[in-house]
Amino acid sequence: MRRSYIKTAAVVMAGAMMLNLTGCMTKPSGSSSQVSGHVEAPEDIWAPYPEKVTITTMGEENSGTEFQNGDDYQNNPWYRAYKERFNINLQNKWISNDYSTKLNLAIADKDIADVFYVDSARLTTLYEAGMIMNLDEVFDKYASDVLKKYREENKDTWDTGCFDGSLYGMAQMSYGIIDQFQYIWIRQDWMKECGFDAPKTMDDVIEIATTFAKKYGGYGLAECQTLENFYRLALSWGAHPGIWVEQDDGTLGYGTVQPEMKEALAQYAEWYKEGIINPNFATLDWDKMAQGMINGECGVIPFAQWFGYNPLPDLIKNQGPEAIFYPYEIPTQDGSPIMGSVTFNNNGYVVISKDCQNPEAVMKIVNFYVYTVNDAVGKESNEYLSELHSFNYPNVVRGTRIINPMNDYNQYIQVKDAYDRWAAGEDVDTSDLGTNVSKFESCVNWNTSQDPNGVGDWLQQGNDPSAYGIAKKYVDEEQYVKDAKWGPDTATLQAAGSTLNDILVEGFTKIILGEQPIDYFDEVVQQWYTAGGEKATQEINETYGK
Amino acid sequence: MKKNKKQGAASLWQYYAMLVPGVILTFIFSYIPLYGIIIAFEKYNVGMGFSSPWAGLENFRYLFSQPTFTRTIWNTLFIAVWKLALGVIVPVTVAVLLNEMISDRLKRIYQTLIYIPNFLSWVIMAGVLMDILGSDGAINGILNALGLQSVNFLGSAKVFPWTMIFSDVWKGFGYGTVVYLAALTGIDVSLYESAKLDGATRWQQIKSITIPLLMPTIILMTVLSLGNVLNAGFDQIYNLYSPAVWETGDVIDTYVYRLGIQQAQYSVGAAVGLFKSVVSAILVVTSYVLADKLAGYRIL
Repeated sequence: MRRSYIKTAAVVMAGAMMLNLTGCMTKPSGSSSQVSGHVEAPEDIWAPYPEKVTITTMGEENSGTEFQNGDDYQNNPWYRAYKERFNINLQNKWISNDYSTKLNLAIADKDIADVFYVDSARLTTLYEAGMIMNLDEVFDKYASDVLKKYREENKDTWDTGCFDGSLYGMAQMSYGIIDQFQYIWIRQDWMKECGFDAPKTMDDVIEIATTFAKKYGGYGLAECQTLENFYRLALSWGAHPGIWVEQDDGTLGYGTVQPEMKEALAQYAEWYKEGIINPNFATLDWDKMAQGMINGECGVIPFAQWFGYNPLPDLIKNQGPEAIFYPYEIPTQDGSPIMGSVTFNNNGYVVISKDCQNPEAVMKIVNFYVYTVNDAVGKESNEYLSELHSFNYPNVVRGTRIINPMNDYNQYIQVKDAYDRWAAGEDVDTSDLGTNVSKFESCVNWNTSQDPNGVGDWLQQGNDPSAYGIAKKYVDEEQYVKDAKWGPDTATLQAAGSTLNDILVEGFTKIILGEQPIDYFDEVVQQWYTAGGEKATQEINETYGK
Repeated sequence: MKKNKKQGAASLWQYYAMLVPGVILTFIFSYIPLYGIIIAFEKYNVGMGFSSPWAGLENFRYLFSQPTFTRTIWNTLFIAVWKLALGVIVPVTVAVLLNEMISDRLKRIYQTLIYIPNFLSWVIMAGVLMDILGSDGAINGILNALGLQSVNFLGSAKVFPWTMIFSDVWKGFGYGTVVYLAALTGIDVSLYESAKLDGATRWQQIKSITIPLLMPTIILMTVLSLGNVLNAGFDQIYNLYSPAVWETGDVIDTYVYRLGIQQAQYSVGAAVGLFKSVVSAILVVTSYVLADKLAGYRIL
């Protein structure tokens, strides 16, 4: 079996080389990717093709996938499922660990696969170069009902894959807004020792931080040169750095340059002067900041939901399991409920080459992924689904999958419920959990054996308080401000790269360090406007304004 | 020489023939790609290639209109020129001193030791430097022990460029030293012997024999490195700088990197590349002409 596989591989490779050779001499017009011509697709979108259909793709190497039993990128549960279910042979044109560069070369060479994924900049590039297909018809006819529902429910995100009202790139979505919220993480053994309760106001947070620093050394609040923790805390003042928000006059403005930021900054600079914030933050990159946390230099840090995955496991290995941090809500200045910031988050777009002979086959593949994470639970055997979804196998179909945007939200409800029942001593039937078994199991592992690899899942979903537990409330009660720029960057923002934000970070750093007074804020904002912020604001209002 | 001239180019055809492959390869790989410069004047789209829409000078105008770009030119020049100057002075001095050493073994040991940092990448070096130069690092420890104030080597905008200059010279001077030492071994020993007979001191020997005979190598190395005057050392600075020191430490390459070369902004990248090449070319040609006119040194 194995030997014959190698033989086939050798023949295929030799063939590919010959194709390449001829490719060098005479450039084929259009895509050379067609291995099979057009095959009439059956009426029923779930039915297999009468004869074998081959479509090509280009993919990204990922280190996360743990291939089992000699599987590889061409031969794995997903690709086998496509063959068995639909008689579709998904053929990798190439798999690269430098996807973006290789993709650029493929585009420049006009040698693209039938289906692959792109970011928004390349979506525009491909559309302008006329290399990708208008998907309106094929989507209408062959998208499954669930996929169509995704599109309806996330119309604003899907619209970013449209040009002149026609669909060219299917939005791959993300795991949902539940993962976008911010918290204050506090070290538990110290908190207990000092007898602190969950902080209710920002003063409580600072009291905890300063007490920790006095008693255990180090500094009160962790920070690094990107000022990301400051940006998180700024939510407390009602500021929304990094997203575009509607202002009182109805126009859209950039959150980082609004007056609320000035208030937050004044307080933050004051804290720095009092020695509460890490005195060396200005030169620390993120890794160095994390290193400080791991060394036990600090017990309070404003952070995202994934603190439990990085750096907490290393911190626990270094400081012991009692040194665990719990997430808390960021208190607001006036005690009102906090409003989080939610940004446009889309993992990419599935595009189909203009020269693809069987776009319906692509839709079948896409439908199938959507099916496995929705209505397949219960219909398919648990083994079948977990074969597809364990060992990070879904990463293999990174280019053709569309994620359920409610994924993490639903997962939290399931895992939390199962974990609570387990903790209460009940027997938990893991077969109901479908693809979420591993999350549940690592929560249990943390509880039973303090396995540091389980602490991330436990703090994200299992524990009380957990990051998603808090975030679920934010989602349910709509405690968030949605980025008005719900889509890719405008031309000016794209051209500026990070330099526009850099102006603000640089200026704010000077203010925090005390090199400039707080009123320097207005000057920094002015600089930002001159450097392109004004034009960007204008563009945003034209593109995204009402 | 005279003989050759009389015989004319015809008899040299073998040499010209041997030159042909090199010239052809250079033409193909170095001159034809120059066509790609037009990317700098286009709104480049990978899918459309060189026939992308024309943008004229828009990319340059955009770049120079950025308030934070202009300072990077000055920063680049400041850091690069100092690196260049010290990058000549330090290795020459060390090479001359090493050359004067009597023990051959010690000389080799020193030569090897100072050459080692040259082989470490800046990514690793930056980690080491951050630890040594940090507020609780070794250097500040020594300064404090001597009763001096701590210096914020990496966080102070005043100090940062000098930290870059000295750490780069320290890392790289081993290489230059080896080159100059090699040049020194080429100096005819009989010159020193006759100087000694005439009663010249060591210092006079260095001043009147070593330095003048080393001059062609120095000029060659300087002119060659002038081509790099707009490369202030991306690897080094990118790994060590932070927003607090962008004022003086942000150079053209790091700025352009943040501008988003990663996000496939080919046109602006090409514009910067062209700008740098033109400035460097002008500098190389002028310095070459000046060296020839003022000091009478020619490389070719």
